[in-house]
Amino acid sequence: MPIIAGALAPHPPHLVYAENPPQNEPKAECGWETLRWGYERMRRDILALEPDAIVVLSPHWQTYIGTHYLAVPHLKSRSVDPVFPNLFRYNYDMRVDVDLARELESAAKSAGLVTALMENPDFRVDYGTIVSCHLLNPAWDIPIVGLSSCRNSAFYSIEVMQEQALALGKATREVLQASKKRVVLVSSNSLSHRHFVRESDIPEDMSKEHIMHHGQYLWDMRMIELMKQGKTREIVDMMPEFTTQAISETDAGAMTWMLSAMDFPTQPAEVYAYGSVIGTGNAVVSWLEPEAKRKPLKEFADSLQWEQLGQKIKEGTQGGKFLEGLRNLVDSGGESTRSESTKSADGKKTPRTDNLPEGIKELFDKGLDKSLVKPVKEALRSGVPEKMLLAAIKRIPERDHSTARVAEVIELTVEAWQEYKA
Amino acid sequence: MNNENPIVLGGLVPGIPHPLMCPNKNAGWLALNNGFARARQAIIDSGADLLLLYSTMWPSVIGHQIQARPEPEWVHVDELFHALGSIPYKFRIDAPFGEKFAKAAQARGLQARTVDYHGFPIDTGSVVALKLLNPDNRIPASIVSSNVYSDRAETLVLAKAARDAMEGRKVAVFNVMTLSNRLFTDWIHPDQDHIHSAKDEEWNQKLLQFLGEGRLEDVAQLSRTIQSSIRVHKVVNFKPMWFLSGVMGQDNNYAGTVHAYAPLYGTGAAVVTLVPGNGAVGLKEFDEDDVEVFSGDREVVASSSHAPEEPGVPSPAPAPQLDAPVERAELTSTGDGSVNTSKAPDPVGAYPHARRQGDLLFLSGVGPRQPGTNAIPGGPIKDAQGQPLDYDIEAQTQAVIDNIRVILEASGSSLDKVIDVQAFLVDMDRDFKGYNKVYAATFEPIQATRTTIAIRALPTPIAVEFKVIARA
Repeated sequence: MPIIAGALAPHPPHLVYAENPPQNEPKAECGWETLRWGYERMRRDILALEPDAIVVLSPHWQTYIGTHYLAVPHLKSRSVDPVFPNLFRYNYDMRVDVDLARELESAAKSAGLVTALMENPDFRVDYGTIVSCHLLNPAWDIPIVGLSSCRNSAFYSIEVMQEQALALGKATREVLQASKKRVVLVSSNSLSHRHFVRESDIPEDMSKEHIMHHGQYLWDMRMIELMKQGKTREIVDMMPEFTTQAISETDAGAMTWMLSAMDFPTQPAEVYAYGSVIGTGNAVVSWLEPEAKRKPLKEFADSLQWEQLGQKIKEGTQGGKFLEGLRNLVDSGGESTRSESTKSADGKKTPRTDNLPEGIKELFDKGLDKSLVKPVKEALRSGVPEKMLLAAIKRIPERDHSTARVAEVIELTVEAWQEYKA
Repeated sequence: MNNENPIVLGGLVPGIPHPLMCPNKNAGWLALNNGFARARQAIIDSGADLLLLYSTMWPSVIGHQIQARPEPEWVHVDELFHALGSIPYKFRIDAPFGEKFAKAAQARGLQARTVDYHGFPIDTGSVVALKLLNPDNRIPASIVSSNVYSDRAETLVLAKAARDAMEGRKVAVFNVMTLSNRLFTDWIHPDQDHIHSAKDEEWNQKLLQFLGEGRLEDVAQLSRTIQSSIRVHKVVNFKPMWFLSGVMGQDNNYAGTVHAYAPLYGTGAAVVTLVPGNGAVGLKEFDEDDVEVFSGDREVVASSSHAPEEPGVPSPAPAPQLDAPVERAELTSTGDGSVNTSKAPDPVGAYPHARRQGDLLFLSGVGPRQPGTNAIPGGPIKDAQGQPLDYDIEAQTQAVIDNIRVILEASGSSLDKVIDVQAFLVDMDRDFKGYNKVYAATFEPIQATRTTIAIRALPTPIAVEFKVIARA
């Protein structure tokens, strides 16, 4: 399952502006919280899947001759939104998965589509790509593959756009199905897309923010309801009418491409937020592949990089000897980097954790959710070595340190131990 | 055209980068490059001290944007033809003109702002035009965007605002555009370039004939037809001719020269110049209304749409008045901001007709009574004995609006600046429909907020009264 998720990730620069990240020059007081908080939840879900690449199609890289692919390994520059330069002047620094880009481009070309690789190092990445990727992964530590929007809807019709985007999605799917990379697809667009043509003196003045037109709102709700029902084929079928009636940014083909690449997922989408930005309708939505929610055991082991134990694992896994490596790890009694800290400063013990091994107890003293005491004890009772469990929990990236994620890692560690014992 | 015309030259040039980046790969692209050179010489010969570009390749959403960074510098790469290479540039922009242009546009009712940011993405078309028309930054330039939603009225008013800002200048104004704009949608060898279709070629030849004869306004008035005939439906329609004709004076009296015409990746690209005052066709004959001030449906966030004045920035010129000015001798205005006028009905209590507070103007309740006579158009609602009479609510409502107009204008404001209306009706069931109809005729384009309230009675035998707040 190389496509581990799809995301409808709109790109109003207002959302980055309101967040005040260090990369963006203008500063805001607040704004569009519903959408931003929704993005935070989607970010947590998607990053928990530990993707290897983000493949994004942006309406603001507009090409009239085919689909273009970013193919420069490192792109660093300043993105200034030509429409809202007062809100978005962002210094970006991104890595591009050029190998994947070339594979995707080659497959699309073989499928009869017009394509091009963008290999000019002076190229400035469009702000739609920058905004969506920042909001999904502000650390920028996952490589990007950027696709342009071929403007068939402008040159011919929305139906031609559909046909091209469906074919592009199919070509994308075929490449990714054969790939070992875990990829997130991103459709970077609003739903209804009629803007106000005036701006408030204070752009983030939320008393001025509303949908441009009730008709747009109705259309957006209709599409979101289909997403929640898992009816993505119906969404694509309705795309021409929706795009026309709601003046939707789906005219770029991004959403059709993504749903086609995902082979029209039938599971209910996770709708994190809906809100207007300067009159346009924006939904933050993900389709998480059910089987992708956990990394396979081998990949989990490959990603283990804690300081003292990681190397032992890697040594053990060479030649596919993962279980042997795991046994070596356990037998060696790999040291936790913090095992010397056994008590909190005041020595206070809580009734629910005082019978836990010191290292694990320390995690609870430092704020690990007490609801995890039970699964931890169950894991230890099943025989999982304390240090293995401790190390597994500690290697979870801080950004991803949610209760749900820790519980998932505990469960995964138990599975690994049981497999070892078997 | 007289000697006060600030426009010394007009024209149009294509913005697709091949004539700049690889002119020698195709005879037509080289011809266009040579055409640019002749247009460049025409600019020099005209004595222009400002080069104004209207670029169809710079779309904007929030009104119009005008470049105002004095020396923008960047290495530009086209988003489509990136394989042609990078285009380093450093331009000389007339920032004070940009500011003046933006203020003039605001004064005519448009949303407009300048952009002065390092790294602002100047569009490929503007880059190509400035590199080829003004390669040594010989004269300062200004660039204005093309709003994706603007119609003829808005574009024409923008052009007039540009002229407002040109006082004392000699200006060469160019559209960055193609004629037919259908690109090939697959890669071609340079030798394969041709106009996309015979139909496009026929239309292009007709346009070149008109432009060669100096019939700019005729082309402008054909814009919608041209758009539907040879233009791909992109967000920016065939509105540049409205702008160019508006800036140049809306007539057909030019000496036109087609310096080059060639296919450019399927589009019809032409370099044309127009010299005012020497044409043979004569003055305009409008098929459509002329427009001086934009008052369209753009007031989505009206109450905050006007940016506060920055310290030290002079106030914009007042919007041109469409109606005759109020005779100030009949106006009484006191130091506390209250306003009374003899052209409105006398108050029936100790209150002024209006009072100014800051940028707002608050009107006292206004009924339909006529100034001087106190006659009630449409008749009173009851006689002296209190017996009900038949009356015309539409006439009363119209008289209320007329009185409000008089008070607003006496206060230096106008009906189109009304923000909020409270309407009082003594008989909602009987009168709402008629009142609503008359109200809509005036206020629908203004889009003031409104509250309508049924009340038991008003102090005089009238059926309707308005309470209004407006921008001063």
